[in-house]
Amino acid sequence: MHVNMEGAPTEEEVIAGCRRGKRWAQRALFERNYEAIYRVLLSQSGNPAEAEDLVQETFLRAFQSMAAFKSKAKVSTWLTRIALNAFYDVRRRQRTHRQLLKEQRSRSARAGTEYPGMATQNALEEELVRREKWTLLQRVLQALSDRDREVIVLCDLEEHSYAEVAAILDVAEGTVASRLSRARDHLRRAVEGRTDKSGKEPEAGSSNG
Amino acid sequence: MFRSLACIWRRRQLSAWADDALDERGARKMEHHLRLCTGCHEKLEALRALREEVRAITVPPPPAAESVWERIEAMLDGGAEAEQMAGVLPGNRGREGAAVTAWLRRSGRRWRWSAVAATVVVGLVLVWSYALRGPMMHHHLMSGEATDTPMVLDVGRYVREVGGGGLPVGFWRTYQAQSQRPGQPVEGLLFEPVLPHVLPGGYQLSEVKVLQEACCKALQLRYEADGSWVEVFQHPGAHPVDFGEATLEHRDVHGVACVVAQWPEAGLVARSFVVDGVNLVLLGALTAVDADALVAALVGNGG
Repeated sequence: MHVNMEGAPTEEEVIAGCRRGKRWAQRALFERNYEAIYRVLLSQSGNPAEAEDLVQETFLRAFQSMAAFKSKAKVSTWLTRIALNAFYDVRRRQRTHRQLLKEQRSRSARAGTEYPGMATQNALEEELVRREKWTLLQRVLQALSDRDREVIVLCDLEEHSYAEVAAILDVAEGTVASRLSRARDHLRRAVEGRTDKSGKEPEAGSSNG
Repeated sequence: MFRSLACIWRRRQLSAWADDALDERGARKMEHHLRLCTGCHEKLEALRALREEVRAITVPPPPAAESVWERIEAMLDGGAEAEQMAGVLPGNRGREGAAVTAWLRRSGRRWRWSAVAATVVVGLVLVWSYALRGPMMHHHLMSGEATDTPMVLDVGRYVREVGGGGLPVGFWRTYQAQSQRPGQPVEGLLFEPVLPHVLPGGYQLSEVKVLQEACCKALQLRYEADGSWVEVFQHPGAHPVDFGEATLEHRDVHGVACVVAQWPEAGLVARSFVVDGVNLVLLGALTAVDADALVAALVGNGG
């Protein structure tokens, strides 16, 4: 059933409807938040299929636990938190020690081979422009830890304020600041690492011809 | 040269400064520092450029809302069944548990047994290596070249960064474990630090890195516990550390001569002391009691 957009329900009405299990309200909650939740999950997982599955998981969990939602909070904040929890639940299941080792090996193998023409910071910037920026960012993001990536995604890609991110992650604002600082530091190193390893950095004196 | 620790912790605030998220006092101090320190200024510019690069990126559009909603609705209508699946991963893909079970069923008994046996072997090897060597560290340091012999931290570029001197922070070991595929053993690198893996208060070693900036160079071990952190800097040379604008005090902590530094506005404290001829600095958002207990642990009086 479609929501009549002329008298579009307010957020409070939608939440109240969801609490009573009304399908129109659930649909409205989905439609208003779907894109933002998908973006966060795609950036975090790096995999469109997984992001789509996680979107479903997020909204199903949200509908099931509407009672736990405190009306003072922003519903988008609450949904983002559920989405990230769903993501981490899946990651936990997937990550055995064996997989970690495998990933790490393939990561070092990738780092050496995948970026042939990049020698300097400038070359990387040109590359960022020339190629699809998103694909490249994803590769660098996926080299970060989940926790580092999460703050970059929320603060820089989604452009949430420190206060909003603090609410989503349930930590202090100061913690957001320090985690973001570290994550950006790691991001920069990841970008530079890419250029170091595949380019013809003179002192490295190693491998690729 | 290791000129000032002030740079090290100012840099933690650079990112917040770039986002206009420092309080007035912090912002004033940062402004002052940036006027004096070209290294930090360059860092700020690089940080801003990177942030803008990320912000300029457009995330690809999601699949049509309608189709995703239809699947959600189907699961809502599925009632109890959907609820059960919500605990796993709903959707058309990603039911890895079911897929693995189906695969085992299809591939018959021989494969099932060899998979179980291999899993047990890998599990035992992992437990064994953990028990012997402490937790595995999966960090950027792990991508260094593997070797067959234990070695002082002299992996690839890290040696170049610290100027060729292997610092006695830990050892790299390669190890092999049985793989599920015959003839293809799993190889890995273990980092075994000399300093303790775990500090009092449940702080676990989480990262080892080299700080190499225009104004300072130090080896940093980061320990984390439930959202809080402590860092141990091990810096070369015997010269005393300059703590910049911190309030200083010289104290005896468990028989060790310490310089105690505090930056109240940043909520940070530091202890600088010498162990076996190596300068160590302990930095974190600590109380005096925590910090003293950690100093004791690092000099070996910690029990």
